[in-house]
Amino acid sequence: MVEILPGIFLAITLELSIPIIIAAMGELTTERSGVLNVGIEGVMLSTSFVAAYVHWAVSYLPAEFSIYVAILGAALVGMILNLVLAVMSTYLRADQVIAGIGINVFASGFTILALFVAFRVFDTTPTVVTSYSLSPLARLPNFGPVSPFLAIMIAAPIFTYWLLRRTRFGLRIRAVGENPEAAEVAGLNVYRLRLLATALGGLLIGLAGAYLSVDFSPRFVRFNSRGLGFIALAAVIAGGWSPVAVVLTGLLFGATYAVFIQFGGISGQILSILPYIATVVGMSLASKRLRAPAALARPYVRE
Amino acid sequence: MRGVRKTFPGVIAVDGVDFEVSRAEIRGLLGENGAGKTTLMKILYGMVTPDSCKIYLNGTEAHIRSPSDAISNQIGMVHQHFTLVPPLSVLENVILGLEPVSNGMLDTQKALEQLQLLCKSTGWSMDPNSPVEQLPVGLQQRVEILKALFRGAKLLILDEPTSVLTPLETRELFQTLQRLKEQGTTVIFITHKLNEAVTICDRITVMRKGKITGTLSKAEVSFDELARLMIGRPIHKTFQKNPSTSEIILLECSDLWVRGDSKKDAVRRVSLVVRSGEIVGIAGVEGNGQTELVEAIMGLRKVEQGAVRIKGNVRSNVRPLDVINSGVAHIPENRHERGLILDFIVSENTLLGFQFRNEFSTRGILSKHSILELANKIIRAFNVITPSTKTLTKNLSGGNQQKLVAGRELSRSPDLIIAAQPTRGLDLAGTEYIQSLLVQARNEGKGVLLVSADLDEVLNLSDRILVMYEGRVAGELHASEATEETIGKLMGGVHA
Repeated sequence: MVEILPGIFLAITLELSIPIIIAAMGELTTERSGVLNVGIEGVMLSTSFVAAYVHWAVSYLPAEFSIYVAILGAALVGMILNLVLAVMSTYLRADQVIAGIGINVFASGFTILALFVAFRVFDTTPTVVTSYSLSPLARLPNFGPVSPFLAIMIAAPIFTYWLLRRTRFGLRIRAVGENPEAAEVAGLNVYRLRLLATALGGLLIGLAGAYLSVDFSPRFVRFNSRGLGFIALAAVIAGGWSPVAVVLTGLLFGATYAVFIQFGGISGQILSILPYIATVVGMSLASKRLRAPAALARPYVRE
Repeated sequence: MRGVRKTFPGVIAVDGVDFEVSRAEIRGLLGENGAGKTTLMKILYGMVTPDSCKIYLNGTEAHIRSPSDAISNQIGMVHQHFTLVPPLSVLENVILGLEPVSNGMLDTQKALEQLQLLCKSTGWSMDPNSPVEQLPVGLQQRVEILKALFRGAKLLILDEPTSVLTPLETRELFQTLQRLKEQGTTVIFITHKLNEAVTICDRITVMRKGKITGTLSKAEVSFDELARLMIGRPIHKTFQKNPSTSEIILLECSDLWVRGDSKKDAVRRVSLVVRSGEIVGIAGVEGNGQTELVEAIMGLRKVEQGAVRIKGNVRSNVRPLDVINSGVAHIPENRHERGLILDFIVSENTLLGFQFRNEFSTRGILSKHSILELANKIIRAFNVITPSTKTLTKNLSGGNQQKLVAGRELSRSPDLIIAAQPTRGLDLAGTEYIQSLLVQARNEGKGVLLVSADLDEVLNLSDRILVMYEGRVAGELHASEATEETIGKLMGGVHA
């Protein structure tokens, strides 16, 4: 039996909750507008590669610049990929689930191909300098290395909550996600709002992707997103589309990961299914009492 | 509006109509379903693009191509199907699309003040923070009206606003409309109910088959004249019924308790009896347990307590097929959801519920010939107008879809017919036909349980009337002693 160290357990929990929660907030914003992004895994995978690639490509810059350029690049690509999905599921009236699966398939093939084209390797990119060594917080005494992504993890849910509850844009997102027909009658542009919400969501998913290759591990390896995108998708559902509950769910999923990482070995292998079991259990419990945005995944066709 | 014309593929919806309405007037727009009333008004509201139309507001030509154009021209419309966002609050629904903001954030304070002002002008009090999905339909409708007024509507179009209201709520709505009129608002009131049009409107315009057949002022209207303009012939309101004397009990519910979707008790201790040769009407505003009651009888919903007996045998909590096989036909409340598979062709829909019978399949292979024969038999016997048996059911008109459902159910030769909102959304001719089928079945000695939110229908057809309110039977009346007044009170929870 391996002893569980509370400090390390907490650290691993946070490390894994960061990408889940940030990506889940992106997915939440998208879904509240009525667009289901099943392609979240693919977007995370692609942006994770983009971050590593951009960092390598601009390595002539000073490290404190190149890392942020890499992160911004990933966020931008996340927005673009999500926009592709949004255009398909609004103007082109594609089935959102199929479009999302398309993005996932595309991403898994594309990143492998790109690895080879860019680096002539099949498995992993050169090491990226980790971002928290650049973080101002890291220089505080007794604070230890703190990732700036932790700040994003805390800020993203607060921002999402504020956006949805307190702003005009948020009210309109909720309206088009629940009843696009009514929103249209009220004079709103359903497609444009869905596009904006999805783009904003893509930005967050891109940040989560960047985290995986510049911070969580300092390189991009094949299938670097590790199913965390799907876990984030599940967290949104299990958390009932409410920012607060989604954060708690994300932390819970992170903690189950931490359990199996601490155990390691054979028992670790067996325990590695824990997060997935937690997801399945969480989702089946949730689906009974929770209600999705009414227009989720339903293409809206203008009369 | 001048020279309005709109054709849909295969139909002329509005055929060269000129329509005008003056300031601070309540104008009725009366007509059957499909007469073109709603289309005409949707053109005015910019939701339907006409083939030709010129719109003049206060004497100058206005170009209205979208609802937002209409809104900026101070035109508001309350649709038959509400355009509210259910989980959002009253306030959020009212301000949506026109939200007051300060520094990019919603200015809730200002919005509240504006809402209160509107409430004052209509004479309503509303809780601005309750989600509209938790409000009864009558209040939801008020939210719709407030929404239109918030957008500055001086011309308010109401599409069949009373179809979801109790008689009391209808009266309250009429009071508010009068009030708005006194404040200078023009109201166009779309309806197919003659008596409502006569009660509230200053003038009534009647449409039939896309054309205006007449405009009458309040002083000169008569029911007969309106009905003639509306359907082109007088209506016969009464049905030939022979006295019912049978004592054979076909359906008996005793102390029935059923839960609704939200796990709350929807049906509370309901007992009722349907005998052979009688129509028992269940009146009540929708959502008072009627749906759950019917589903429990049909085996579609669990009976918590009490029993359903069909011809003396206990039939609660059995499979729907067992109920059907006991000789029960069901005309479901929502024909699109439970009555038909819209993406199936006509002959597939006529087969539903018959598919187990051996004559329609041999060892799992459908026998085309006998299926077609059945479809043709039903189509002929019940006047279903369809291009062919291969037509997709969703392409039939509402009336013909309902004839298809009713025809299919009645051709099972049932003893008991459960008809839930059988004439909802049908025009006068279709309504008359379906109602005559029910009366005919009754006269043949069958039992009919008729659930309807349409008070006239219940009063016209039933031998006995039960009123449901909040899951209970609020009262039971014999047809001879029932009036709109007494039932209306029971429907609204007032004890008679």
